[in-house]
Amino acid sequence: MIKMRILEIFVYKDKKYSYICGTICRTKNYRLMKKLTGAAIFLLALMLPSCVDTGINVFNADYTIQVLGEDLVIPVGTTKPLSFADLLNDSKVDADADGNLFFQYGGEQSLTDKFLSFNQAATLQFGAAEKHLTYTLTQIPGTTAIQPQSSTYLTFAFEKQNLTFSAPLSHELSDYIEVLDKVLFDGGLIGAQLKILTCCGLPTTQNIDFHLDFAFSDFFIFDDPRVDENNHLRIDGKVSCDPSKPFVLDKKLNLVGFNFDGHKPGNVITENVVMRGTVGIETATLTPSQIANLTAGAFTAVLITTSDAITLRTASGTLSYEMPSPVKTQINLPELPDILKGDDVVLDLHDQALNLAVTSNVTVPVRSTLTVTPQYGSTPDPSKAVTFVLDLPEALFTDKDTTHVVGLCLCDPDSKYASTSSATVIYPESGSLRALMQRIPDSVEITCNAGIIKADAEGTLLTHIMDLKQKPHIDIVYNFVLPFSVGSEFRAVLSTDMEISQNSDFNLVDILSSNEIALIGEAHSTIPLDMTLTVTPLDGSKQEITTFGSVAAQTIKAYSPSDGEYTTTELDLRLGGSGFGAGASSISALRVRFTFAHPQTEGAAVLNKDAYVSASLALMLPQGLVIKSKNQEK
Amino acid sequence: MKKIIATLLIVAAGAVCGFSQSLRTGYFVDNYKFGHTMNASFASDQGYITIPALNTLSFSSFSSLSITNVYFPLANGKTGTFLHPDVSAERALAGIKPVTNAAVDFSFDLMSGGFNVGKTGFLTFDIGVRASLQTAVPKSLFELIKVGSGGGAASYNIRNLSFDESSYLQLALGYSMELGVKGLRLGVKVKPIVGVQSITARISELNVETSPILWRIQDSGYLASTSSFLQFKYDDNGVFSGIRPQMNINVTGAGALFDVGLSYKAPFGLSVSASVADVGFFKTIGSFTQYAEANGEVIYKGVEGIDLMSQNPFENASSQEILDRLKELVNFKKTDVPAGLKPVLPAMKVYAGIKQSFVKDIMSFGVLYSGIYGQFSKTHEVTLAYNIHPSRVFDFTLSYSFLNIRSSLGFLLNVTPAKGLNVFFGMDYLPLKYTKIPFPVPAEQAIVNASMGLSICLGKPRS
Repeated sequence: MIKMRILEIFVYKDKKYSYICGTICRTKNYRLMKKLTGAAIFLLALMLPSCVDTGINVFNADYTIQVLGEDLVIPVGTTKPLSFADLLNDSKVDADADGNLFFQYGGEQSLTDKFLSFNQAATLQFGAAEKHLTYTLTQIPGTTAIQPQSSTYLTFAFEKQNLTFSAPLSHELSDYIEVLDKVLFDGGLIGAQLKILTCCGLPTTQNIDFHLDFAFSDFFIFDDPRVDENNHLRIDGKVSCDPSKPFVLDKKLNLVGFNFDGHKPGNVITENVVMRGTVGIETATLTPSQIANLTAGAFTAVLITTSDAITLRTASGTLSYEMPSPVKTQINLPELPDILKGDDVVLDLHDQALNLAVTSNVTVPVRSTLTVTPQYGSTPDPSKAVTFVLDLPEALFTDKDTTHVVGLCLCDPDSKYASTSSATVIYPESGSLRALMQRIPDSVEITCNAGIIKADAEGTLLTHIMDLKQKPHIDIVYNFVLPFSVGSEFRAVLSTDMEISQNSDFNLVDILSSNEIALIGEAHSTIPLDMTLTVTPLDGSKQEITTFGSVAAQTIKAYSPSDGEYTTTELDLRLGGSGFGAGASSISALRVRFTFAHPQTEGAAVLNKDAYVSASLALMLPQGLVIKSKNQEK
Repeated sequence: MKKIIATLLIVAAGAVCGFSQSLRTGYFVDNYKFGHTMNASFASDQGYITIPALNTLSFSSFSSLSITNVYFPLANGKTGTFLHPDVSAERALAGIKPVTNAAVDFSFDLMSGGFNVGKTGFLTFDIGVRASLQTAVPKSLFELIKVGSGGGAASYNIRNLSFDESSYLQLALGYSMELGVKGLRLGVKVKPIVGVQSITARISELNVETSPILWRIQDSGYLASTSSFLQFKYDDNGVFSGIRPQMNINVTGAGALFDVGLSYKAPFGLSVSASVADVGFFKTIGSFTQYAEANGEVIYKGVEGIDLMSQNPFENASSQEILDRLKELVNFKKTDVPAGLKPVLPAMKVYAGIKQSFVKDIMSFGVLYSGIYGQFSKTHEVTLAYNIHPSRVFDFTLSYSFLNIRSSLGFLLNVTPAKGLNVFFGMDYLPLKYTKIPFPVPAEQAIVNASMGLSICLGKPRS
């Protein structure tokens, strides 16, 4: 019998099992015991605890954690559809019937007192003239003798021709009257009076037939049916020779003007007014007894011509006038929407229209030269000046103080923004409105020079009618239409600063310092312009921080009808990251800038009020939401 | 935020897991006096009685996660958690099981004993306290935390995220005897239990759908408590707001568990055995059960109608509002206790073993299947045990377990003199690798259990 002591570990030595401590077992199967002992030792060896170097030291751990993985995406939301009209945010922005946007502003300008004055209202008068006709019976002009034709009757006649009345007339007119054709006036009357004072003893019952024939020269312009086309006035009648009842014939003729017949009196009317008349007795038949009573007394008649005061009303002729110096007017343009401000804004607008409604009582055609010069601050830029030549037709002359309105459109021939379809379209003589408004100036200086058009295209002098009573006025109402039909150089910029709070749970600055953030999502646009969104960090004094390198930028593609309802752009706008680092703490705001530009496609891009851009946005943290452990921060 | 993350880390990685169970390494040890806790037919050849206050104490600390699942060495020589940005998702999630069970299990026998009755009978009793705390965290939750949306759309279906705590008093009476055939034994144990309290928090389903457009989070779950001294607090809207302890200790329920075991020891050293333990019922008493339910869906699309022209376009997107909305998901509202609510019972255990003794029973080798069929999870293990029993007094067993739990070695040292004190100490999970300083921490698995006991041998051994 072999005694064997066993504990956890069998000890085999000198072909015997020894023990450290333990109990006693008995067996005779040494070989089996040996194997089992070996197995036990092996198993025990397996159980020996050991330290392994896993590289883990929990007391020196970096407890920086990243929650929800990389490329963490958090929905931000959807934006309100942002229309271009919203961006303009200006009451002056309107939409036409098609919904296309245009911007307009207008004002008034008056040239009254800055143009020639025709106010020549004056009165003139020429005095009375008398012609006494005193004849003896035998001296009656035109009669050879008074011969009884029969024993019963005596027939005689007389005629006094070329009775000339002459009266001086002078008046000084404006010196810009180059040719005076006609002067018309109000209230002009010329009178002729015939008085028969004695009748050579003719019986009182004897009526004497007479006719008066006044032949006025063409100088006189009558508006009287009694005056025939040859400017002749004939008055026929009978008079009795009753000494107690002297015959008086008094006629007033309506004289409306003088006809200068195209001659050139200079600026002074100097005229002898000449009238010629004929007075006679064509037949006088007397009975023998009457004949017997004839005396050899005189036959006395008096012809008197008179005129009332004449007020000049119009003058007709050819004027020659140029304003001595141009009139300059500075028009401050209204405050522009933010998006159209700034040095980097370029307005490449098509189909602009400058509508003018000219109200005038000037009865002569006027040609004015209008030069519009942009001013930026107080500095004019003549290189962009636009010059128009406007022919303002004469106002229709009426009896009353009259005005007329002329529509002018300084625009393209087919402009839909002409104020009326009948507006006269004027092209610039030099420059272009498109260039002028590429950068909207602070003000424009309008230089106006005007003169009277005195000849037609062939050089034939025009006849002007001048209202000598009225004070001339020319008033211009302008309306400048800037349709947002934009060309390839168009660029509008709008920026807004977003403050960053560093005290909220979601500390953007913390994130930017170690992480990158990305605004991802999808943008839908129906605005036919490329829209570039840039985000630039700002420091505490709102200065752009350039040390971070390039700013985040994303372009939303312009709408193309081929894309259907809208054009979709995938968004991925990234900011921050390793380049920011600790410098992110200096960020106090983000400047978000929207730049709209023509997509460089064919033709102009027309902006409609219904065009919009909208986006569904998500915030992506490419490195996830990282929370640094305190010891890391240190 | 950091607190939330830290809490999540603690829940995910710091918990221990396991089920109340006996020392499996002792299953094939004849002199292990507490084998009857696994198989009611097992009987010691000698009576015993435990000493109050120096009694059987069993503690298990068990986790699917090991320290190396939670901490990783970084390229810079430091240590980072699995959520550290430098730890890839693939690396972090590689060692995480589909469900990370996490719990603490504790049992303490106030008094227990076993007595030989007749020629083959053996009567056991014990009075003890059982307490367990369990959590189950599905891997998808770890994936959500670690991977997130991955830059695009992602969806997670997280099921059965649970926390259970229960404690009860147990009185066990067991009897085993031979069935007329030498070596064939049948054992039955009846274990009346008295509930002290139980708390269950369960998110039965948590669906998380993320995309750049929206986050949709949908959950359903409940809170249930059967306790007389823990009272749910609700706010004015009937939303659960906390727990208020109160000095009112009552029995909250009663029930009984049953064990049945069968074993056969053949004359040529082969033993086979099988048992079912902890099958029973429990019924609550009085109105100590409280129940609150959460069913919610939060769809977060961000802010609608952001005005990009505004000075602060995101003024409506305060983080507080987002957090408030997320809190709606865990708004457990007071609800009537549903009829089908089942109390948390100890998990049913199934054991089946086969042992071959040799060298005149000095040594033996056994294979044990042990299955734990919990209410919400199941584990299966196979244990290989090698036992050295050079004398009646001394047993030493080495075990090796594998399957659900990471493979682990265990041991049992059992000293059973014919007279005097029986002392045992054993572990089913003996970590063999530890991280280095400052103190040893199991490197590969965070599974620790220990069972020790001291009892007084009574009478003479039968054989």
